[in-house]
Amino acid sequence: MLQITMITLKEIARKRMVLLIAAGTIIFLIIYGIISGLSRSALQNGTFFMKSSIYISALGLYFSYLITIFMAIMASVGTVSTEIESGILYSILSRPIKRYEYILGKYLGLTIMIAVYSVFLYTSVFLLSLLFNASSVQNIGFDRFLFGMLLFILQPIAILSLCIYGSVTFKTLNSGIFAIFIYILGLLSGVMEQAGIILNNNVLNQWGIAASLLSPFDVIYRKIVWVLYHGAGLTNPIMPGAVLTPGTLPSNWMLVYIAVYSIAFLYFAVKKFNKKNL
Amino acid sequence: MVIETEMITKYYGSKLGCKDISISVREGEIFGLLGPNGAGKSTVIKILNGLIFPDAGSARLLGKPIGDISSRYRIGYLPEKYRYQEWMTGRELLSFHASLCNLDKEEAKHRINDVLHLVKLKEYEKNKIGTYSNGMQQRIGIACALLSNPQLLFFDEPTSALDPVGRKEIRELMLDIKSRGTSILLNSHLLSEVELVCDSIAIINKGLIVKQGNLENILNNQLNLEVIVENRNDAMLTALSRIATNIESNGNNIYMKVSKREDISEVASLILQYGGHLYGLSQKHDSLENLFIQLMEEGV
Repeated sequence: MLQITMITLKEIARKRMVLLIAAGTIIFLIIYGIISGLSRSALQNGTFFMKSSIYISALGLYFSYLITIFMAIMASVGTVSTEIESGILYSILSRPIKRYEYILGKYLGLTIMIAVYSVFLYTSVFLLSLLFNASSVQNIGFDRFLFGMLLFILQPIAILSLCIYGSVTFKTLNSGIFAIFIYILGLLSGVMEQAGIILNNNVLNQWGIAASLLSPFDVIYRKIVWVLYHGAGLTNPIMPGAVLTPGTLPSNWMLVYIAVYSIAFLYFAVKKFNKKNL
Repeated sequence: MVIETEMITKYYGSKLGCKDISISVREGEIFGLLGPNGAGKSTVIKILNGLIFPDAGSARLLGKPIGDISSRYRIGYLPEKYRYQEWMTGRELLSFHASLCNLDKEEAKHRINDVLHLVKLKEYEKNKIGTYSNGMQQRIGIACALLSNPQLLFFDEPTSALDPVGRKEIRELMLDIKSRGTSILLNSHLLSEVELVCDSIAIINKGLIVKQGNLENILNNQLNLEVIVENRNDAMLTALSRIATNIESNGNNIYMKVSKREDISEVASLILQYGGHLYGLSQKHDSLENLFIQLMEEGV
């Protein structure tokens, strides 16, 4: 299994996509740094409310979140399907290696890569905010920073399980469509849930919760926002009017559900791959 | 037996992949699997390598049921669709496969050098596989298959991308491997190649085995005779038809098939008995190609 993990890591490192994402990350951090710097000057001049600092750092975190999702999907949608389509898998699986070891090895390699990248991005956004004395992060203790980081890593790892399942089940293109569709469903579920609260529409809220169970990715972001900025009245930047309330705040049980969700998709991927004719 | 299959059957939906495939491959034997495109040869090889699962039947490789991981340490496989990680160098690919086979570092180094020499890719070992020609990729695939010093090799079209010189080299390599006691299951379209290296064959058509056995026995099963005779008559041909089949005549030449050696002298006696003047009688072996075409035309 470890051989597959190592080869997965090496393969990712040699892909052009990594260069693109590295360049994109640097550009994003530069832009974020400029915005944070400008906001600091503006705040000193008293032009903006103090709250804008929180919005800017939350927005920075949200874009970081999207970039890690994008990377997780791009790196994993074809991880099994392209090797089946190209025939690379034939020579590997005829070796003394069990099929579940192949899937778990791939998953572990991708998880390591995405976890390292997520930690880097999350920490960079935080350090930039600190560098520019953003009031939003100055009061966040190390425990909240760390919990936020764990949640930040959880999300791409959860979507990775989904993508691996898609890659085992579908061809590469269909697998990508499947992952993006589920992720968008997650974004919509957040909007539906919060719109249900605002409009006092219980049906909409219930549909939002049901969609969240199918695609719990937006839930994690809401939890991060709560952990880092609770009390600031912030939520998903794509629906800034909605305020986190105890009604829309994801419970810790939801986090347990997401962990089970990730393990379940990985389990189904292994089960499906064990019976797949190549 | 290194391979024993019993009534293996595979359907892809409603489409037949292969049906009731029972073959046995002995130790140190090269066994040829022949058949037209889509006949089911690769299906059989993939089933034996655990890449697809049969709907019915069973098989044992090196005494273990298919899918048993422990036997795979002693098995090498060159797939028909030989594609490898293009971003790797030849040596990196072999190192990766050595690690999958649990070869220790020293043994891996030694084996990698050996197989690179064998397939004549030593000077390209540091080049990326993406820069290799089709033929070179097939060679690195053969190197991969040979890496663990296997007891059983599956070669699925091993020379399809090679030039005539390369084909000859791989043929010689197969015979060399065989001489060391390794068994090979060879799937090839090149009948002349099969004829040169195989001990036994199975011909598959539309998913079914239509002929199998020792190659020499199969080819000598029917003796082809060419007779040059004058004063040929109908009574003579009728008499010959009692011991010969496929009788065709062209001028003074008569072609026929007999099933045993004793029939050859009987043919000569009958010709003389019916007033013919016998000027020549020669025996010709059937070629595998003729047999193959005959079986396909019969649509068995």
